Amino acid sequence: MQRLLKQLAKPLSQGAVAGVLCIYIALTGMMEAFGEREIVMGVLDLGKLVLFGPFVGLGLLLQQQAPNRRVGWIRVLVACLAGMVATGLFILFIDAVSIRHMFTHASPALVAYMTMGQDVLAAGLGLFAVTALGAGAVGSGLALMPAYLRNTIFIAALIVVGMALLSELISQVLRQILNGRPDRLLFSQGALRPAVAAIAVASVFAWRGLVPRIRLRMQDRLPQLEPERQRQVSLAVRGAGVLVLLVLPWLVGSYLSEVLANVGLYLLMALGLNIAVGLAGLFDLGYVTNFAVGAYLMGVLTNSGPQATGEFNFWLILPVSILAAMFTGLLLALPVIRMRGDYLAIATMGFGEIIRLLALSDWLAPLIGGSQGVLFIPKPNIGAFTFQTPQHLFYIILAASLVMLVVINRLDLSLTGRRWMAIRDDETVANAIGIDTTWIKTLAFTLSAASGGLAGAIFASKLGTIFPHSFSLLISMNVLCIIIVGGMGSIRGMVLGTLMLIGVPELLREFSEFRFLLYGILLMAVAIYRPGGLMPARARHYRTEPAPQPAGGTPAASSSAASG
Amino acid sequence: MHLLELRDVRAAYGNLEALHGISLFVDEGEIVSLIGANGAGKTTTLRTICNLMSPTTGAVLFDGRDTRGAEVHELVGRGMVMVPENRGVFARMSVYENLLMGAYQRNDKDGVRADMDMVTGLFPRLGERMKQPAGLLSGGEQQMLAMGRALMTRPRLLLMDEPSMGLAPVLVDQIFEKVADISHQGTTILLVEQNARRALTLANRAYVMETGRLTLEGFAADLANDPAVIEAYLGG
Repeated sequence: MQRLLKQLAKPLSQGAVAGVLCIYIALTGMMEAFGEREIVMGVLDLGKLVLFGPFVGLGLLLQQQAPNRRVGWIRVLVACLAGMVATGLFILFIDAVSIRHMFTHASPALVAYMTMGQDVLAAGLGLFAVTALGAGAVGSGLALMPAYLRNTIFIAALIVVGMALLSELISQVLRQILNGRPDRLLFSQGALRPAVAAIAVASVFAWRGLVPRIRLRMQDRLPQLEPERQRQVSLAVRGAGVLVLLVLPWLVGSYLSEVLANVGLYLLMALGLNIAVGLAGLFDLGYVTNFAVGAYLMGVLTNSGPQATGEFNFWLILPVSILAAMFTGLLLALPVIRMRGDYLAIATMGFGEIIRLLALSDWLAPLIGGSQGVLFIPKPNIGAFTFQTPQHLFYIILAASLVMLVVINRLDLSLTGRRWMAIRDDETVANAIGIDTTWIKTLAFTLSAASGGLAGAIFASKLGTIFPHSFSLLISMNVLCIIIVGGMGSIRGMVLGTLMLIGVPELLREFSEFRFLLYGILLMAVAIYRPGGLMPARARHYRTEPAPQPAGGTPAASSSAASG
Repeated sequence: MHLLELRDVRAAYGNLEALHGISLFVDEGEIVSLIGANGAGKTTTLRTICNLMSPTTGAVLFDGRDTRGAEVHELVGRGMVMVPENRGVFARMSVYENLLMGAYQRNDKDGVRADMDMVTGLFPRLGERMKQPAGLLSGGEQQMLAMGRALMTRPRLLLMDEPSMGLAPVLVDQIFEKVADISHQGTTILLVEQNARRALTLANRAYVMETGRLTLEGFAADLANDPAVIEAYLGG
């Protein structure tokens, strides 16, 4: 008996956890809110996905970990029963006792939703139980099938859910390309039409069926491509990418251009902070300082409002803002340059707060407006043309991002970049072999600040008004999160991280209050499953030569001659 | 004039004094070893010599000049470099990049390349592994890399901290052979080592350290025959 209990303890507890998860989701109101969001019209809504998803997960996990199929099925059954009992008791409980004064979402409507609209509670509970067991069985089935097939099913599911969640974006793009309302063929109030979902799934299966063959063919051909040719191909791909970026704002419309512009601003900051954090390993939690300096300088020197000081042109002040931010970075580096790790993070966090409080202070108010902020900051212009709409501004940000990408990429590959990495790996050793760590760290802070100043300057001009509350600690945190989620020191990671953390939440704004829950889950998932970030820094240490040398052999070649 | 001289150097971690007045010297071309038990203050002495710690009183003279106030990297520029304990290679960089880090302060490209050849000549294993990340090297290879990286600064004085630590005996032999080779090429070496037997075989002179003080000094061969040393460090 005891042995049996020991055997079943794990599935029981995991099942109970799944049940508690369901209850939690229900009580936060997520289930009902998601219930209104259909994924496939009349077939599946997001709430059901959240309600039964944990059971699929249970089935998959327990079956995969089981020593054999029979044990697996028993464990899955036990776990699903535990989860069902927990959830079922909860349904019974909120049906019998009203706890709405504590949990506003524990309403009859929730009971009705969780029992799938059955009139009789018992029938509803039965239906819930059967579906949950079915979900567990589906999970187990997934665990037992070949990995390739399972992945195909996951991809298909992801694409269907993704299409439905991003229906607005897809519709917008379709409407720009085709006349009329082509999106109505695909979606109905954001939900995929069943036929469309079926086609999508079928295409995924067809594609996954063909991929192995295509890959085989490609493998035959790829090595034949000469380096010259490969370079051409990669250039063409890059060109196409830039072209897509150029037409993007007109495809996605004004609102999404605004989102993209914000993504770009955060990307600029992430690229900058990445120099300090990702390359040199300096945990800077006050990055907002540079952003604020850039923004205020641009605001004060170009505005035509109460704080008007010169009303200079945007393009004139842009480099000034960058230089000012770099100077601030240098200034702030001086006192903290000997600090390491946590202490550095705390000190820099202090700077971030100081700059916000300075911006708020009455002392500087005559100059920079205090809590009234700076108003009437003009949009950038070239001659008579003004960058008025989000689409226009997108191009300025795109240009800035591309420039910064190139600069950072060069830095990453440079000797200085390697020195930063040496300091990140072991500061004492770096110093002991002759690297001037003080100077190299100061340089990291200073260069890192430049990109923040640039982002701030564009931000001020884009918004037209700036207030101290725009420069909160949260910005520093967000930028740091992008770097951690994207992958420290990885430039591609920065791009992906910014899209995930700044772009996607905007697209999912229909789930307004639950957005940050997903954000948190994503952060935790990355921390657990991909500690190096979504796209960790590529193993670029395989390079042996800093640059092709005009004369003499490569060190590796000549050394083998010497030793051989 | 001695290449390196310590005059009654005291150093402390906070209120805790770790060196109670150390006086020693190293002459050009010598291998001098500093032996002693764990916690005797050997590493602290090295850290003080290259200014990773400052002495509370006393003076460190390198090439006749007081090092007080000099930055660590400036001393490297003057020709003094340390091979740190536990090797301290930059794990995510390639062997080549690690070596290049050693040549950080140098502008003579040809000289750097020549020294790179010299290092790979001395350590053929490094030449074979130029492209690999240093973190994937074995312990012995990492020690070689740390030594090679230090040599890339073209030092006059090489400070080595426990090069044999954590290595298999056969590798320790190899490392000590390399230390001898480096010495033959004209680099002066101050070697801190727990493995007293090997250190005394290799060195010209040696100092014995106990709880922050030097208790014995002399020619290595004499010390190796000293009953007290045999009793305490060479295992009877």
